[in-house]
Amino acid sequence: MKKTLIYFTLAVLFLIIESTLAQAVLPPLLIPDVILIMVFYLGFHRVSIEGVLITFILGYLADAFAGGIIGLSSFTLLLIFILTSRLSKIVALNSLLIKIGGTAFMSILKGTATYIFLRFLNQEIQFYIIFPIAVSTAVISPLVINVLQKTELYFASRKSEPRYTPP
Amino acid sequence: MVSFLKKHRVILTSLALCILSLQIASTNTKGIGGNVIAIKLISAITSPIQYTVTSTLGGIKTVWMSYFYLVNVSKENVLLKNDIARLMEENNQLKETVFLNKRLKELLEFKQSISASAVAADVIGIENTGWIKTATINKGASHGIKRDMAVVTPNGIVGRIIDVQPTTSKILLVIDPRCNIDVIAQRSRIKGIAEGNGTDKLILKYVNHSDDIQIGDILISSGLGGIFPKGLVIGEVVRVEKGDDNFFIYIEVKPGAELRKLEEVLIITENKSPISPLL
Repeated sequence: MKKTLIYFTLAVLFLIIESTLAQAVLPPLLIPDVILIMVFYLGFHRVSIEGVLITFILGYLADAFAGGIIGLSSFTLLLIFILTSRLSKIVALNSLLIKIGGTAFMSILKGTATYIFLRFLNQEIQFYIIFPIAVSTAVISPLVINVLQKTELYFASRKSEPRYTPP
Repeated sequence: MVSFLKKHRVILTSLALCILSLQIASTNTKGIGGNVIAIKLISAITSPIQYTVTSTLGGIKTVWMSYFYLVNVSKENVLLKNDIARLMEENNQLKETVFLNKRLKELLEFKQSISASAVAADVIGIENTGWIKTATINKGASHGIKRDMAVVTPNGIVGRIIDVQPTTSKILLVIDPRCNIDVIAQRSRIKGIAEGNGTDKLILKYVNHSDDIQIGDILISSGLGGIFPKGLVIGEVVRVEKGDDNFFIYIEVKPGAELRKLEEVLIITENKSPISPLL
């Protein structure tokens, strides 16, 4: 429950930065998908029911915050989680290449899945926008993964500290 | 069987939630979940922070423009430099007030020119994730805002309200693929549907080869549908090409409203404009 709340809080913070600071600094097509990076990280480090539920909640949060189609991000992010959890059995998330390349690939996959769904709804949208988003997401992924790792380490070290018990 | 379920519980749970998410998404394709408590909670938590960050960014931008463009001065001008810094700060505050005044004056004049009651609001956040194009404003149900109210600026239509919380609301921008507006070309009076393309333009649909449309034509709202009053600018035609189906033309429209620079908007709370029976 605590870890879910931590991820939820981080996700809300990232979404607020995305809707305010990022909009002022970056062009629209270069705004990274930070929630995807979080799910990518979860696919390596939380391959459990907890990870699945956190992914579902993050997807719902992303759609509710942005005003998107509720359920669509949950669906695409869960697909990413499944694929990443499979990938985690082959490689570890310790090299820059895996972080950047893996995130870019997953971002393109997520974009493609979303595109197919929206085209199915007969919406005239451009496919090419998934590529600049994948690039910006990949560039920022090492930083976000670092933040997530440090956050987990911080809370893990707090948990392992012996509690003071009065005499 | 039980051991199979246990062994693959993560994948099975993921697939089950995938199917659930897809089902939710397929029943919610046009808008967002209106009265879900989670959305109210998220909005209550995030909107004050968004407002604070947006205001701070505006202040930082003003300071940057004023202070960091100063030319280096000599030692005799140190005192003058201090005076300049103080005066610049006062001037910046006054300038910001003047710009705000100018924008609000334009908004007020525009409000008086349209035959509709309207409420002004500040944009506190813009969501630009993938093909989703929405914005958050600092007015909500407590200010009389309701779903499907039109949102405009003096330059053109911004979008419509799709979600209302007690103190904030969400606008579906015209460039979002879910936004469809019935339009008329001002010059030739041909009709069509303008739909967002998910990037920075709209697509004008259902205009066939025999219709008179050209680059530079201004599109206005027809008033049909009851959301957008008649006569409001949607945008300008910037591209006309032969369509893939050899029947309809492919037309791109640049929005009239400057969606990248949204600061203040008007929400039309009561649409009084009559729809002409001759339309």
